[in-house]
Amino acid sequence: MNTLFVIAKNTFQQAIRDKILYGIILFAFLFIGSTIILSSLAIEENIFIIRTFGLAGIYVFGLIITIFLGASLIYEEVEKRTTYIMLAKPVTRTSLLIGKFLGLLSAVALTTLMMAIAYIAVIYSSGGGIDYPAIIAVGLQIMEMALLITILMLFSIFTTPLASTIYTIIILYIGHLLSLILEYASKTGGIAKTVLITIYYLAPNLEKFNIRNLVAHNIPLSWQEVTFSLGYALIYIAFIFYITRLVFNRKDL
Amino acid sequence: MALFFSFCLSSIIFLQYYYDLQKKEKPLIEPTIIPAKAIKIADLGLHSFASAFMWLYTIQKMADSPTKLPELIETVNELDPKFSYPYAFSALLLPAFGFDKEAVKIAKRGIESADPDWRIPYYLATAYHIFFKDRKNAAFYFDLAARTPNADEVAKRVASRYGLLGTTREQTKAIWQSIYDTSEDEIIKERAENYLVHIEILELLEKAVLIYKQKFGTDPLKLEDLITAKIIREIPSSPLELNFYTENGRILVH
Repeated sequence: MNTLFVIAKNTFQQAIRDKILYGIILFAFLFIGSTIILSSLAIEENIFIIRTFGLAGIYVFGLIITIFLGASLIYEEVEKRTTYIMLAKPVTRTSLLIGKFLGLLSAVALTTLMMAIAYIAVIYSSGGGIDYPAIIAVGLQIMEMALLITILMLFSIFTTPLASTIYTIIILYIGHLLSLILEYASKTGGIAKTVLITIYYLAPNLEKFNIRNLVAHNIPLSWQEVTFSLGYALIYIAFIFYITRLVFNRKDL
Repeated sequence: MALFFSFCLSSIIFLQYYYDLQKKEKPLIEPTIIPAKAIKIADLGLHSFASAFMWLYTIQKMADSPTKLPELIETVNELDPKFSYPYAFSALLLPAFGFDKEAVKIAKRGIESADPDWRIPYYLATAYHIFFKDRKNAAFYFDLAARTPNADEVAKRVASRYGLLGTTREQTKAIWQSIYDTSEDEIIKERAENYLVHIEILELLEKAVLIYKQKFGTDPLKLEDLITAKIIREIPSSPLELNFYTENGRILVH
């Protein structure tokens, strides 16, 4: 357990020391701050504009940070041969993976929370009060990022950072378009239908973590759905993690 | 070094200025409207954001490309059917651009799909009253607006009196005054103000015609007679760009 937290802490420190990360965070703050100016263009509904743009900004920049930090997570360790040093000590491959995951998730969660604080400050100063539902939206976003981190980790074991990034972006889009895939499946038949339905059930449904549209319209959240989404995230993370562990254990370092 | 720096900076500024001058002479390109379905595929589930972005784009393009307004607003609505303000805005502004049927269609869709917003039925009722002269539908939608949660008290009062108290003109004045008082939208406020000023001018000219008749025992043949009789100094121009004329003692517009 101790080694796990040491690896997590080192991964976290390594991630937050990256100068490019600060550049991304700066742009995120500028974007969130600029929503005040953008909302004035809308004349009315300025709180709605700030909410939609703010939450979208947190999501997009959160994605950029996750993919930027996670794409080379394991790949760099293997390329630089630092895994040998770590695994020479009483550290299992599983601990290494879990530690890396927790470290990166902490870094992503920290940056996401920083953006969320900036967003809440902007909404509050614009007269929208404290946007509590947005906090839940950000929480679900962190779960989505956690899922993407496990996917990135899996890809980074056997491919380059660029390829990991591309594959993850493809899965990201698929994850948000599964309802469309199901719609196409209902209109087709034969093997195509089977393939599409298989994709629908096996691909990660990232729309489960998307409550931004509900928050923007002040629609009350269903706690049952939020709990269901959290459960789905935890099970999916465990599933991908298990596959990652199998692949990593078999990898010839 | 300083000379080179100054030269580069002034060249950049000049080229930008020259480019802007050239751009003014080129005809405006009609905006390309990407279908809402395509935007939904690309927006990673951020439909409200995409809709809000398209709405800001629509407002900017309103003056340059008014013919594309209904399409742009429909894209906004399709991306986020719950975004209520574009429906209300369409009900009041589209008839002014000649899109009567589209205004009604969009507003009715908004009443069904959008977040409860009293402005949608209220502005639709205003459109029925002012542009389509359909008092029956106007009364129906005023009533609906009054019953919508969080309806403004001013709007509720006007809606409850509609068809019951006052002349059509008094009702029209009250409707535009309520829209002016309750809206923060500069475009809609300006529209309401223009109608109120137009009605004031109408009433002013009618009083002037009455004074003329009392003085000379007959109706003026044309409005210029009022100036000749020194009842008014000049014929005011309507902010709605309509021309006033008189016929059998009545003030009409064309």
